[in-house]
Amino acid sequence: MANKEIDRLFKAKISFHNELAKMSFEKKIEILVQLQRMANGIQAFSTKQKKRRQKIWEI
Amino acid sequence: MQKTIKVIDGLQKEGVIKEYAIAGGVAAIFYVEPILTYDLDIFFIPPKEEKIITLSPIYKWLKQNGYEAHKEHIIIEGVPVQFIPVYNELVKAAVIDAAKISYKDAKTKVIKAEYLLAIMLQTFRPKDKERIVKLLDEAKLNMTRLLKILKKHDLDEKFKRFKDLYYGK
Repeated sequence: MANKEIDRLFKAKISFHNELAKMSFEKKIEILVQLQRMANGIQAFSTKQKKRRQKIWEI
Repeated sequence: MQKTIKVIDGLQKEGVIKEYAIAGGVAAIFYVEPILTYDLDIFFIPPKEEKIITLSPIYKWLKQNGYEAHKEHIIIEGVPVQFIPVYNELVKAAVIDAAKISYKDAKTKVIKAEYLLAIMLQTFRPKDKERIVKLLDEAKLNMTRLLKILKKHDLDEKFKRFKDLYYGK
């Protein structure tokens, strides 16, 4: 029973990633810019990573 | 990004480069779910085949059009772009056979998923391995085309070992 539930969860996870992969290129680029902002935000709190902050796309 | 694409397309229209295609992380994003990347990699074929390839004509043209270099990138309309000349036969073939796509009202070309996978298999950095798995899981790959490319560029055995390692025999 537990295995069936775990199988279902993993299948749903794969399906979720596949759905994201099917999004339009334009939408994916919008998400990419959000990812860049989030990653830079996290790095802003890390002294080691501060120097590695990257340019966020201005589009 | 459509402005960036139009500027890059202008480089081709004005003969500064012969052919080009979007490569790297952004090309991967075309086929898989969004992944973090900060630059737009452009593979290009120079107008003349010369032993030593220089980026000077590209930098000169872009500077004349108001774009500045920042380390190894040129910031074009807010996007850091890296121009990489085709450095072997596989990459050259990938650019020649690139897929024509649209981004909003801009037309451009992106390296086909099968070539992208082959190039990643060749460069084989940790992030390439991660992206190969994503391509295999999420992209609609033409396996006949992929196997043909891998065989032609002596990557078929390496691909088999990779698949065995990550997906089991």
